Amino acid sequence: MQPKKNNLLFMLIAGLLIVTVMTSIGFYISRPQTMALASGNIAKQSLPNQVKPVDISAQQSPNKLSQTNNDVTIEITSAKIIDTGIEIGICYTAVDNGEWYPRPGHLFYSAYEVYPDEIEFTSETKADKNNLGRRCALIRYRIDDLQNVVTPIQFSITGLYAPQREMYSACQEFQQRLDTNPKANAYGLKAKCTEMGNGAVSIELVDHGKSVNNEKAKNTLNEIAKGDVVGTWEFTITDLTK
Amino acid sequence: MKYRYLRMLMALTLMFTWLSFRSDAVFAAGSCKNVTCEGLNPNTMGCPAVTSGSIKILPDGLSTVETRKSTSVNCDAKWARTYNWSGGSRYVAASLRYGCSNYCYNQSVTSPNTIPSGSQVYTPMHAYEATPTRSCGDVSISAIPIPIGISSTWCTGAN
Repeated sequence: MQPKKNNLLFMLIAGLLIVTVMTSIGFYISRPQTMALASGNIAKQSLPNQVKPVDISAQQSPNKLSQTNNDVTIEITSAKIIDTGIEIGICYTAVDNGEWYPRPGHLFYSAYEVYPDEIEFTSETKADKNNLGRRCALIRYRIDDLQNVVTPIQFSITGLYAPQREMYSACQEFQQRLDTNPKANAYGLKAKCTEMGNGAVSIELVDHGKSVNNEKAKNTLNEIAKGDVVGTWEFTITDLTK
Repeated sequence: MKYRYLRMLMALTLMFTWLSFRSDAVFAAGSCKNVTCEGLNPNTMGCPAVTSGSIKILPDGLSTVETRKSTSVNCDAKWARTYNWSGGSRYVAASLRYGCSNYCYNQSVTSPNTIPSGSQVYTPMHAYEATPTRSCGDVSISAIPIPIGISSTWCTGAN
């Protein structure tokens, strides 16, 4: 009688545990799928990009306008008359995986000067520690009287900046950009970041490779910390499509 | 022999339960989700975000306002961000407009004092990235009343 009771008890416990294991496995399997999606953007921002080096100059056709300043190449990809004015397409180097924004200058033609109105990002390849990134955007200028638009048009980008992303603290933002900057990687830069309050940070160079002297390493680190590349990149556009 | 099976089953249960909760803790992107984000500060929620639609350049030709969104797989929310790039300290304000046919509701913020060039303000968050919105911004030498009204001068297009 006793062994029968034991067997029944064993079956009951085993059955209960099998159900629990199956539920646990099911729960576990369901979690990674949700979380993989949820973490998709983080992965994009923190993991090395598999896209090969972005060499803007190598991709341009002879008709494309392109200029390089402070390691950043800006290329004009299109220039159009649209319903609301003029739209200029650009692609530019992203020196790290920061969210790099262009600062468009005024547009000049004939005796007119027009302020920029809108920026719209169209594509992005994130930088990683081995490869520069590339961002493309459309810059729009609002012009009421399109009849008066004549070429040539003077267009410029006065600078690029990388604002702090909401998901990161100031030091996390700096560290992300340092870790994905090919120049910092080549120079072997290591830094210590301290938050000073009000979004300000104090950056200290901790180590650098032998290929670079201390002064150059510090200058490069300061440039990365600033998140601002000053131009100007100036273009004369002679063809406008409609 | 029986107890060996029982021990194995118990170990498996514990392992998968632990893994499930661990995966939650490690990979969660952002500290809120849609309705639980409503009215919260996007700068402290850790939500991955991108620009939604176009960035509006304000009349000084330098400062910008834009809608930021954290997609539905992350925090599933939107907010507005205004950047002061005027070159000087200014009052800075932003409104995220949504709802009705004329974007009658808003989440708004204005800086209590002037803030330096290169600084930004964020509105509180509004739930759901799919909400049709427009973002309006202003940068001024005097205090800015909020919400900022809808206009093509101060606001982005619909996004």
